[in-house]
Amino acid sequence: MSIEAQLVTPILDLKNVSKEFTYRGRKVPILKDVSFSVHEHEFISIVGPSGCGKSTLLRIIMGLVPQDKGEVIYKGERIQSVNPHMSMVFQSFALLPWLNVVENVELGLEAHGIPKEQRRKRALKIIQEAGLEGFEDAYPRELSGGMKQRVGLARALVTDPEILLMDEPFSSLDPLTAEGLREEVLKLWSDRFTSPDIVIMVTHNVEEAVYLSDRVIVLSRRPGTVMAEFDIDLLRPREKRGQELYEFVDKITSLIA
Amino acid sequence: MSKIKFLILICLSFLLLIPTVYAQDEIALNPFSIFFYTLSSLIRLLIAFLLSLTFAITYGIIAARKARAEKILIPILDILQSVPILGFFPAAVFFFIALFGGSWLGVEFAAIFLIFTSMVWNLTFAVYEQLSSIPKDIEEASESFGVKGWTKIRRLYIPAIIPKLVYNGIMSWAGGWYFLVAAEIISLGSKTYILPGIGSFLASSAYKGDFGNAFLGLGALITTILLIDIFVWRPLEAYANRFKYDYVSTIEPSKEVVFPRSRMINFLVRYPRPLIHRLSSKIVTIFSNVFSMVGNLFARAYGKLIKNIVVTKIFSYLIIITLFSAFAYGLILLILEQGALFIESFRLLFVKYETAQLVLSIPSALLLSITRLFIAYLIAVGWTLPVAIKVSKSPRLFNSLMPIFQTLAAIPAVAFFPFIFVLMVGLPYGQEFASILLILTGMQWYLLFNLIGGVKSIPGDIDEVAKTFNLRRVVYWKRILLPSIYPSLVTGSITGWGGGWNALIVSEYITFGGKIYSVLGIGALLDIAAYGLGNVALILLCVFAMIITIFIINRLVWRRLYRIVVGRYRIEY
Amino acid sequence: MSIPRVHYSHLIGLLEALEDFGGKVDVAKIADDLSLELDDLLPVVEAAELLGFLRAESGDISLTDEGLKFLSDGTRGRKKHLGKRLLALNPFKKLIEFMSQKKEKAITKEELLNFLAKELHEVDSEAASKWIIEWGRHGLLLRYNSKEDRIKLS
Repeated sequence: MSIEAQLVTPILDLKNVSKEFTYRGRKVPILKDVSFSVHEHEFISIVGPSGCGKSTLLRIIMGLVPQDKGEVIYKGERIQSVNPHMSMVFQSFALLPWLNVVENVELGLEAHGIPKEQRRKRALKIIQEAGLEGFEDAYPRELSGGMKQRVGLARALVTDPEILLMDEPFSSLDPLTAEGLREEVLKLWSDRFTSPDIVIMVTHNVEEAVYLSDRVIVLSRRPGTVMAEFDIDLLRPREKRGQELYEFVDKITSLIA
Repeated sequence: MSKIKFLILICLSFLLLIPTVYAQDEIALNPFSIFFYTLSSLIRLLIAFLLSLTFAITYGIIAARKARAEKILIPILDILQSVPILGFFPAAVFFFIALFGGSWLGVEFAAIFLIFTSMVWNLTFAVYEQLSSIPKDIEEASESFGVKGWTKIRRLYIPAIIPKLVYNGIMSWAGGWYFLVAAEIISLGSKTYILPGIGSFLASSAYKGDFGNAFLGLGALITTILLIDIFVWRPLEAYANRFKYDYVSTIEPSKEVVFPRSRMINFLVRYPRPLIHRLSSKIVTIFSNVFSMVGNLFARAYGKLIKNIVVTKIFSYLIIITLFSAFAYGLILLILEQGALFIESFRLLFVKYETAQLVLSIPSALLLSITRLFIAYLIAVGWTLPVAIKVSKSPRLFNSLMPIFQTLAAIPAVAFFPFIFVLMVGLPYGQEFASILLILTGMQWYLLFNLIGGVKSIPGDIDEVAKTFNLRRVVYWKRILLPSIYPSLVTGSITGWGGGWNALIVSEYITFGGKIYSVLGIGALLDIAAYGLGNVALILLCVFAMIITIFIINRLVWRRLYRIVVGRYRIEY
Repeated sequence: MSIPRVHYSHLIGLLEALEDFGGKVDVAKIADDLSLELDDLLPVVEAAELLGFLRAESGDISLTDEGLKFLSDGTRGRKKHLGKRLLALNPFKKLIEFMSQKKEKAITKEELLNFLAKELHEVDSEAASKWIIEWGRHGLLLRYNSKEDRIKLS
């Protein structure tokens, strides 16, 4: 592929993704004809009213949950199962309580059969980068929320994913901690030489979405479908309390309300 | 390190030979043989427990993971759970004993099999329930990182079930001790097989009206159970603590005491306190390490086995083929040798007046038994509910009372006979009271332990919410406490009734001082069929009647309640 | 307070926000900006002061030179810097001394609780132990393995 073509061809392509759940015998449509693309080195946020299926959409992208209709195309290929080039960070951290920090971080490497010494080395390296040094043998119950999410982040990044998916990653954290972690994620993504290349984040915090993303995708009320896409063309580093930022926030919020 | 493990294994295998040394025709009723009898029973229980663990984990994982298998496996489990231990006698006698030509080895296998059936069902249910309720996000996270197959079992499933295994293991052992008598004296009419053990010892003393030896035997039993509690269950509980999901806020450490110090030890020896503390903590630590070592050994061995899929497949096929052929062989033996007896027993049932009468009395016997069970159930709920709430709220009470409860739960009904005997002789309708009391002993502990477990597992943050709102006691009970424990109440009731049904056989038919005391009930009928007449057909008819009744009650009452309760009240993380 | 009783992330959050404000700001203003109650912010300010990264006088807080240097350090640098500042605090100094005398430089949780109660006169030794372990870990001074019940010098 030529460079121009590479730049134009999206890394991730969603075409008419639909999903419905069966609840007490009735079929409830959650997502309907969701289509959008994600290109190289983009930071995307998906926002929408609660219950619009954005978390489900993220899981469909990851390959955790199958869609009923439509396709998820990653680098030209249909995705049918869990995509090993993607990693996910969870709102509730989802750490295994009986494993310490190193073991939790190593989990993805262990699952792929990487030998013990190697994965220990990689895990320790990323632990150091994630600011978790000193806590290698700590158990999740000994960690604060912010530290736990750092472990979640380290766990997601140790497998060198191309795409990082985040499901409301900061909503369980207090505002002060959340700010610090946001900056870290931004820093990690900005560096073009480290993974991840692409970040797709689901959030209900529109300010956060606008501050961090290149593009914000707005889903409608259930059944969720793409209502609008906003190109956040503000230069980085962005002003957290800038007027232009708030203009975007207002526009998006009025759509959701 | 491995040399030590090897040595331990050798010693353990030598222990297995002890029962043979003491294989005699009659139980020696002297205090000295008590030690070896207790040891023999311990070994049988241990082997049965290990088998139960393996079965429970395998069955539970398959039922929890494969939806199709679940549809068949769980109902089967339901049925098996309701079969009273006596119902397995025919299988025990005609399969195991016949397979080994009536030698002591066959009898031992039969006994271990019977103990297995009294231990395994609650373990299996616990594994199945726990695996079905792993928090969704943790399961999703593991999946998203590609964790599947053996890694998933090792890293996710097994750690998740360890607390339940320990807690239910305690209950299983209590059940094992409770039915030891039935397992060590296998009787089918004319044929009686007695194994040397503390169960048969207690039964013999009761039968001979030998109060002295009965009390000594009881003392030995209680001491053994206490020792096991201190040296096995305490360390295991400390070890299992780290596998619990902890949703209490992260600044406060978990309110659980990490190394529960045995108040018993502290009470017994006051000085020097620091030394005893260090000693008991050391013991707890050593045994925890031993268990995690053994656990890791098992896991690694199991893992190496499973890793190679071809080997696993060959291995499992081999096991299935062996079991199948053993079963077929036993069946053939049964038909050839016992077939005539079988048909004869059926004929006898309807030809002889007495036996025909017995068959006809099955419905009324069932009704009476259900009534007794219901009365015992009401009494049980009446005392276990308040006690469970009180005990779970206070760590002090919990640490001091739990070992007592566990000990009491394990005391077989036989041990209560002397006391019951006094009751029966004195009062009018004494036998009815006696049987209800005895049923109670088989029922109440399931309720108590489940309720305690339920109260203890109310997440700390829900309790904190209650405190912040300064809820009045009545409101707290109505809105938070009772709804939180409804699931445990239902589970406890289901298993409690299961225990009650099983207890019928030792409650409605009592042999003491050479005489037989019985009331009309399905348990008594079963005992008469097994011990009195040796009529296999009658055994099967009674068991069949019981199973159908239990099944109907399960479906109509318990499952429905459970669905309502789980749907509305289960705490979703 | 002789041991910081806030989370490390809060300390960082405050210092970085302070830097955004140019290094000096009215404490009520920054609380408002961070959407925090003054009551919630003050313990963080106290902790930062304790560690020497911040100065508070007449309603204003400002970054010290030490604080500025800390912020400009990388991930590892910050931890080392923090460790040095913690050692200047009495509880940590005494604890490290206490542990250096033990064989293998390790103690159990129980020993830590006793030490906190007796030597440092802590009323709530359990809570104090949690904080001292957390900060000790952050500053790369301590390691704690709860499974083996060992607190060890790093």
